[in-house]
Amino acid sequence: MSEKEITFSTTIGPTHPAFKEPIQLSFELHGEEIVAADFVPGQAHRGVEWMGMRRNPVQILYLAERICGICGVTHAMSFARAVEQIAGIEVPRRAHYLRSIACEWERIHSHLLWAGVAAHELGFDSLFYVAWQAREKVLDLMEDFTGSRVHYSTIAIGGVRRDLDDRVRKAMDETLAFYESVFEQLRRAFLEDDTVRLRCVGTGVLTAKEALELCAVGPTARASGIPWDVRQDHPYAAYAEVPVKAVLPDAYTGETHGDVYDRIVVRVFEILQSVQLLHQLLDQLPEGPINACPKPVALLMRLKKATGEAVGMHEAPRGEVSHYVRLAAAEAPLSWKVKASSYSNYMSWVPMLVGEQVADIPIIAASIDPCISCTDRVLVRKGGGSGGASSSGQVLTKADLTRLSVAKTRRLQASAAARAEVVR
Amino acid sequence: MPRFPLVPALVKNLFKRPLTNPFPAAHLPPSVGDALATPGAIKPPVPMPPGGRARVVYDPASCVGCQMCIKVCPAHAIEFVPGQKKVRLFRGGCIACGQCVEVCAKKSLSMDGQFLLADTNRFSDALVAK
Repeated sequence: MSEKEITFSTTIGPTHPAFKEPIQLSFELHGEEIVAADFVPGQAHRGVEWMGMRRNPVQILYLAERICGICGVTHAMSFARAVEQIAGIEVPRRAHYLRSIACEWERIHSHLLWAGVAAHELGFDSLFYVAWQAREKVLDLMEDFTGSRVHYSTIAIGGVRRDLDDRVRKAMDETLAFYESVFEQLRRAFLEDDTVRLRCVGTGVLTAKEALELCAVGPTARASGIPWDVRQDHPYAAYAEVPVKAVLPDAYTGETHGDVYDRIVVRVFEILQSVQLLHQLLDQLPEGPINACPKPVALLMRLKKATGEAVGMHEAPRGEVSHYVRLAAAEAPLSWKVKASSYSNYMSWVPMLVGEQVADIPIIAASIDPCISCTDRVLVRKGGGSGGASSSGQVLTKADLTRLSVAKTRRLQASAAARAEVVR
Repeated sequence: MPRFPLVPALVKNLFKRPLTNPFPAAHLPPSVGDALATPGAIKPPVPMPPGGRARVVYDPASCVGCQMCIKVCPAHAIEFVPGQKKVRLFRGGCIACGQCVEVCAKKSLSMDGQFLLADTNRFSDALVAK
């Protein structure tokens, strides 16, 4: 073997300061260069779906909201859409608008949060503080609008729980004006700063072909030039009346590279797009009821009788989220399956990381905006990774251990006998 | 020429006072509760806006024991006391979604905007409403 081919392996994680949540990345390195990359998810499985099997849909809605600690609307929205389809509940128009308003505010805050994290991963902590300072305004506004800073609990099955009053409406106008005033500063800080450009242009490239093959979603796919957006392709809530066009990086830079810089471009301009959408949504907000099923007792009875299956989709800040729900005329659903957006984006890490340097791992890993605890559902590894030592996948039961122990004793006895044979 | 558009903001921040309370234990007042009552001792928490969801308060006198709050509680934080036909609410498990408050026909449950609830015993009187 020549010197050039010698590589060494290293792992980062499952718990590591570079990641906010547990995931394990493993690398084959040749010097500083990454030759091969792999990852092992499943370190933060919380059994949310199992808990859902023991609750009625009204309870699950607020449990679903707590799948993610950043997107407070996303999972509740997807779950509510699935259940409404099954039970045939028609959401009022005003509720659709209020849902979209909550979604767009959430997108602004999530993208600013990501921008801060990305700056922090670059070691650019001043930018991190600037981004998070701007983000604080949305949290305060949402606390005013829904009653809580992160877990809004504003979506209900059949509509929303709180109406928009004049005081909050005024606060929304003020916050929109604030974001319009700071957008230029944020854009220049993220897109024109030489430190950011040096580290991000040409780093972690994901081509359009790879993005399609690996089924990337959300800003990760859009940064590679794939114009996919659930709000554009399958309009829901108020997005049919307030059309959305997927933000692509070439609108700003003139060409698409699919690198980390393009992912920043997409997210920064989605903040601007959300601000524009919010203006339209607030201007066109119709009057009317906000919930099709305001009486919880009647709603619970209706859901108890409902039978059928449906998929609820939503364009989260990180990409498409889908919830599969199956109700079978019972208190609890028969099945509930959650697919978070990062699940689709994980695989794009591999082509992004190969060929890059160790120092680029944090920013590339962060560039898909991974939400690791949201993604971890159930991990089943057929046959296990231990060479078939166990009979039931990854778990070594007591019987497996006894079997392995006996086999080793036999092996040692045989070799001892063979040695005795030689000595004799 | 290198471009660093953030520099003016950074220079401005040098002259700003911090918004947070100084952290190390040396700066802490002996009792946070007393310090909150004394103006200027520490910077107080940002007050909750009207309608903010926080601690749930229970009035057993008006409760008729219909158990609707138990049916909608996502956290299973409310339990029924069969002998008295009342409920018991464990604030340690409560996620403050406010469903029970909305569903209660007798208005026995309400929220009072109090969110500093930390305690070392999850079954202490402050964390169990009965």
